[in-house]
Amino acid sequence: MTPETFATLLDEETRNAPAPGPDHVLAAGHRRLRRRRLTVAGIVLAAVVLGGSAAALAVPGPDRPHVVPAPADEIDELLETCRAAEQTANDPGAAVFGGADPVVTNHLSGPEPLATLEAPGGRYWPECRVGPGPAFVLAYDAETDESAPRPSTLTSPGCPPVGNDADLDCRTILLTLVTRLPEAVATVRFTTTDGQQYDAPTVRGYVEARHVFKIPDGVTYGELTAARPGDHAPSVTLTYLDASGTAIAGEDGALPPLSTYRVLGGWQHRF
Amino acid sequence: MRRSQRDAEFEAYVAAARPRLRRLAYSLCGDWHAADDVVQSALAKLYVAWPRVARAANPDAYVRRTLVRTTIDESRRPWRRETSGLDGHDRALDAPDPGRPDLVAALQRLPEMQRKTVVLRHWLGLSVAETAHDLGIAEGTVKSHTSRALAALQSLLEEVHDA
Repeated sequence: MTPETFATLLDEETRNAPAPGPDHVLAAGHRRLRRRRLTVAGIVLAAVVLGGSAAALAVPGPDRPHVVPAPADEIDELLETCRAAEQTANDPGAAVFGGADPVVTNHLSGPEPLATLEAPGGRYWPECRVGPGPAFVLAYDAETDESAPRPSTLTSPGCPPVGNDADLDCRTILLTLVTRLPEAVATVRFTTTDGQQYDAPTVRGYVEARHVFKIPDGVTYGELTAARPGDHAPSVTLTYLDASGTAIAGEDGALPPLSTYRVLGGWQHRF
Repeated sequence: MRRSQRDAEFEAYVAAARPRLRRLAYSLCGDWHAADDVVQSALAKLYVAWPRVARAANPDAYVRRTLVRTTIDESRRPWRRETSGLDGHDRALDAPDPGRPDLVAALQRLPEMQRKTVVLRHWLGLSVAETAHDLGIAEGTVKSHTSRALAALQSLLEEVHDA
């Protein structure tokens, strides 16, 4: 397909837009502006009140996270589900499994269980996920030349959903990281702006981490994320540690950048 | 800036820009209702930043960046937030609903970054550098994603027509 054909077709297919719904843009802007001002004030106040009491923030109470170790039979079930998903896919890329059983390198339990695997040969490492929706497999190529400079981290409320909706009033943040790094990285350390820390060990470079961080009093997850420019994740910096616990790369400017240890998985294909 | 002046300027801008923003959002998420949600969210953010953005005379670029950086996963599940460094971690969507136009449906089957790069590059006509800036990725990555996206779209459309 040429760029010109693409542009012409897309132009035609989007031209006949249905009428938009009721226009609440200005009201939404007013609400957002008020919320931003209130939230910024709340964050500053909470930071002052909380001071350096990071230890008190370490264990969430009523917002207990839904993260528990996965039992062996759950892993078997997870793999079986993903194997079935792979076998029903008709994409030739499914051949990365090579007909042999992959090695399970890590796994996480919870409402959206996942496992990282290693295909025979070690170059491709599939990630098996269940939910939201049907099971699927993503395969990454460790030898890509398109690696990201920093592993991707995903944040969501640390509380179970309320019905089908996220609990935006939640007082905790669930942070998820799934990636593969050079084996020199033995631990990935997360540090929040208010000093909370979590160390995720790697398994031959593979790391799957889910951890719940407490949000300062007076602010909810919805308010905290809405207050950030561009609605990006609340700031969590990463530091890589070697097997002796020495920091070898980080995002604070004092250490070599994270890209010194490139992410092994720039290409992905979904089955 | 006084609020009445801000509101008047903003409303005039929204009236002019909204149709093309809806089309852009639709091409990225494949659903008009979701597109309206994404546009509304992007415009609400623009309102907050309006004095600064209007002074810099670049509301189009600001709202476009806001819109395309709202990942499809986020637009479906707006409570989730993903950091940058996503080149290798973009997620393809589930199979699209039947009844959507062919190309828009095919777009939804591409990995997120391929979908965004091809729309920004070849529909909006942004340069490689502008696309890279909007998406926060390297220029080389834009080129490879765009090339793969066009090839994949060709293949997907042939599948549809053969079926």
